Amino acid sequence: MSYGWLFDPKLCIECRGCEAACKQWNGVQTLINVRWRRVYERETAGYPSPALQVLSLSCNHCEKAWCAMACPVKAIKRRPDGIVYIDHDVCVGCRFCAKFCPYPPRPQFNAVKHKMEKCHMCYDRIDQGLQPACAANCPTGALKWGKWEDISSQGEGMVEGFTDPKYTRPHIRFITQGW
Amino acid sequence: MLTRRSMLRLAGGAGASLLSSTRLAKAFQEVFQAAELPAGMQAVATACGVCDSNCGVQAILQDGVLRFLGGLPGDADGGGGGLCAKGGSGIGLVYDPDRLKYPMKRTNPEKGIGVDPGWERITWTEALDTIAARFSNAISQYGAESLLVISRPAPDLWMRLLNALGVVNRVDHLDECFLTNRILQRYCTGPMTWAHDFANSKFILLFGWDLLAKAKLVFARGIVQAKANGAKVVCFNPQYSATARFADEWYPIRPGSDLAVALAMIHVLLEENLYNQQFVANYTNFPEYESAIRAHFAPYTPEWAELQSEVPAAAIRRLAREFGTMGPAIVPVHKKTLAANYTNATQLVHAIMILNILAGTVDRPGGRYEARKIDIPAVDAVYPRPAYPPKTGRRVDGKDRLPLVLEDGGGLFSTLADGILNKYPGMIQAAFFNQYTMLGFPSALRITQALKTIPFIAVYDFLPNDVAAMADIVLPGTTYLEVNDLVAREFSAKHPIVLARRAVVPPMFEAKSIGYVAIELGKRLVPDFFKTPDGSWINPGVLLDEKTRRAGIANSFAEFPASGIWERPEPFVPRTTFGTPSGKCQIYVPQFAAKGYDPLPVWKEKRERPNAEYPYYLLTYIPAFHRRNTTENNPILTEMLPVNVANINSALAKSLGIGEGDLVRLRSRAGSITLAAHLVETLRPDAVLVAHGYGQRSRLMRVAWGRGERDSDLIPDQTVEEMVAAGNFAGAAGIMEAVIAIERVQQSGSEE
Amino acid sequence: MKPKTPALYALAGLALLETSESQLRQMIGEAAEEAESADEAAACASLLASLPEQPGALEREYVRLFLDPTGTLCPLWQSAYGEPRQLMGDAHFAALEWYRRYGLQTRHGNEPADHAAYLLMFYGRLLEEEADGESLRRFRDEHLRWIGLLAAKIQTETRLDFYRTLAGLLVSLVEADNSAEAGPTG
Repeated sequence: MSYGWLFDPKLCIECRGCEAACKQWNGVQTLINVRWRRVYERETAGYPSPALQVLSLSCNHCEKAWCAMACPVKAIKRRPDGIVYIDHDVCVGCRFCAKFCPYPPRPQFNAVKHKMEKCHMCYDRIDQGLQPACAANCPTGALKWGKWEDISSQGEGMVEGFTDPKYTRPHIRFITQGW
Repeated sequence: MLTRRSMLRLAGGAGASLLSSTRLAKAFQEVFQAAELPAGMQAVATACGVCDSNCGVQAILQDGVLRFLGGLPGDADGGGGGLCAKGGSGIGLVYDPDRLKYPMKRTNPEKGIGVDPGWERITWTEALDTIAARFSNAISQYGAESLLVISRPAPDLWMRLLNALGVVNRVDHLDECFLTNRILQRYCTGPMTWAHDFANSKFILLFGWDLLAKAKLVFARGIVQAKANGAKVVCFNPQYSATARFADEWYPIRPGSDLAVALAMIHVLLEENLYNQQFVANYTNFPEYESAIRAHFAPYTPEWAELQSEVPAAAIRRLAREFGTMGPAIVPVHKKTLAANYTNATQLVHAIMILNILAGTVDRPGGRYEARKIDIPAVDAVYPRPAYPPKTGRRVDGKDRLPLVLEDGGGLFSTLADGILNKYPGMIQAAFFNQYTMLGFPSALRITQALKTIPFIAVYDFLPNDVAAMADIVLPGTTYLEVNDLVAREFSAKHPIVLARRAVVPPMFEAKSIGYVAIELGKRLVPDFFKTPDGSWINPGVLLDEKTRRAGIANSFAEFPASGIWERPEPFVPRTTFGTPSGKCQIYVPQFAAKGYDPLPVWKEKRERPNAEYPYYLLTYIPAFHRRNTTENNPILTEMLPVNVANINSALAKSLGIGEGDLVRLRSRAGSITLAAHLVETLRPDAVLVAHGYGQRSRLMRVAWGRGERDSDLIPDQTVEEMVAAGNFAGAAGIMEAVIAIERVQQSGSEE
Repeated sequence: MKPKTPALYALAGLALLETSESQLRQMIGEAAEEAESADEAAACASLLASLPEQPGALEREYVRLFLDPTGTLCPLWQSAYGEPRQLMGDAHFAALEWYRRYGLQTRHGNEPADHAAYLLMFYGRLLEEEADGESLRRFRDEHLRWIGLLAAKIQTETRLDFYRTLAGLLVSLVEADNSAEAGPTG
């Protein structure tokens, strides 16, 4: 049994509640350009008919996690429920995982601790029967979290600019159907 | 093999057992229940206080320390169980290491930007005694007009103090916010008709309204619901913002010309009789003034409006028809967005009121409606008081020249500097700032000059911002997470809903509530106004208990439902009379005519138009993760946009030889700032967009200090005479009136 | 050992909580009707058959075995079988963690969480929800094995057929390897 993300861009108002919740719950260090979850806003068409693509992304806990395969010290591990996490007791901050990860925001280098960091799906919350902080706080339901068996058949596996999921099998689906 | 048993869900709860139909399952339920929280943690329901959405919050504490702020389950009308970045980061405000902790006094008499005040810690007693003595001296020597209080008119205890002292110069920022909206609605549709039933709207017309981009959840979620229910959204905004993304049609309208489109749409609705005939005939004063109204709007054709606004006439006509025929239509107007932006806002908001009236959706499904509230008694109802002294004195902000503004009481930040420096130099002898910073004024440089002329300034706030740096006495204030209060929903309230805002942690250091300050100053200055009938001093906790009890919510505040939400579900009975002077929705406003104002909106240009010296429009916006005096020093929020930039349309930038990241100087008649350029597709090519809330000058705000520039340095303030001349009788501050020049200062990456 | 059904674990746990013979008769009867395997049906049948006829006999025996205030013959809490022999030991906290991880907590916060009945009912719930093999194995090792000792004590001390039968069921439950095939068979 594993988990995944379901993101519906048309519901996202870019409030960044997801970003803030992640930082607050996980005590992620601020002002060193490390954010485990990020809201990306990308212009996809020019004036006078501009268009914006909005995505809230964190780690996709891929079934075939290239980050884990790349790690020379085997610091990246997987729980029985599929959550991929970095063991900071082992990580040496070499950044190989970030080079191989296909999906922004990728593991990020914490220059203060000299370790790589990334979303671990708030497994401490999951173990207590709660949702990850980001999905819990989303006010419009744009970002959802749940069991992969429920999510994997919904929406699409990729959107424009998102690497084809066939390589690493990330646990995220996108609702692309409009209003 | 799929059996009944294998269809179970691991839902994190004790429910939905496959054995649920048997005694085994029941017995299981007697032993186990759903785990509520991680072990060792405690949840308290409260209400956010960062913005006026007042979303419910579930505060999670561990060993008494705030750990996480989540949305409040069951808060359907507010955050929907979620929280935006501002609310979710509130912990950073309470535990901000730069936070004001103790009362302090200045020992360096020199005041200015970047000048060290030479703070010395004092006791609350000394601080209050000093303030009371200075106020008392100022009043006795110079009269009550010499006191300037920069403050919202809340809470009631604080207003009791000000009124008891006879303060005439209480000034707030509402000319930059909803003053125009509040005045117009009082005469057109009735007070408090600013709740929005978006979920039932079928046509939503936005003139610059941008509350999704500001993440005001109570409004934003309504728009999302409306879209899900099949509503059409039309957005006029020179910027393609996060709100515009939700629109079915977006028009990069010429800044300041929304009024033309609104007038033309009214023209079409009247000409083609596409307004709600039944509503208009029965509930408005249209029948009395019909010929005057029709004649008035006759010249405002879509063709004319196209010339003003650059919105095609055919589109204006079609949209007006859709507005009149697609089902419940609404034109929201609120807060800073648009209403305060241009000096023709008075006329624009009047036109918007008329559109809502013609749509027949005032206090009807899908429209703007009057928030249903219960009567939560104010302090006057609980503790009677002597009569207030008459308010005599000159209005430093010139409100007295704008009778409708004076009647309302809100404003005026945009004329304050002129009042202090030019109109009434030396009149203000003592000032008190209650939770406002310098960044909130247009032309911050001018207001700084003005403040330097005031001999005594006391500041009450929670962060050591630029205004605190100019203070003689600084009082550490409590945040919304440290004080108890009742919060009545105002913007989404079809039946009364009240939230409890709870003190989830005790006040940090020596922070005190503004209610405490009111009582303590009251004891010293006007004791008869702060006594209970039995002769004891008013106690804020007892007062809150009385309010809770008399409102019929609970016997005491502590007994407010643990869920944090109290509701009185009652059917929504649409009004048949409205809170206007005539009891009808007023399209033509005779009260305006009686004062010599236009009783129907007329076309007026915005005050400042691009010209040879200043060829471009300056637009400003507030990022979704910032608000007023609470967020700029928060590292979680600051890193979402560490500095503000000059957003420029890429074609315009190219024509000026400006590349991504180049430093550009923006210059207006008010001042200049230098920012890095960021090239975008989401702006008109004659406009520059700058985020508000940057350029904090106080070094004591270690996260905020030095980041970016103040947009307000470019925004001219105004005189009340200019407002009168512009027909700006409902007091719009004109925040977006600035026009600017752009010049490249330095290429990005160069060594210059 | 053949895998056991969730209902059997729940039933065994309840039999360690319920003192009313008539209530037990009804519960076991219902479970027999809903039995999803022959194995389960047989277990229910033998429990039913071994219930005492005389009213009150079960209740008195329950108190004598499990609740005697002068000294419990068969303590029902895992901590009592550990070192030191006292309540609210490590097993209690470990059990709480397990429950929380699956979104549950006991209703009676002032009582030990490592009661054999709770642990059995919880394991039944794990089976019901098709928890993964590794978790099932771990919980069995950490919190069910000791029930073999309890069962042995019951066998030694009891005078009633019912509890003898129950003890036998307990042994088969804690030794069943459910990790190979979670869920019912047949």
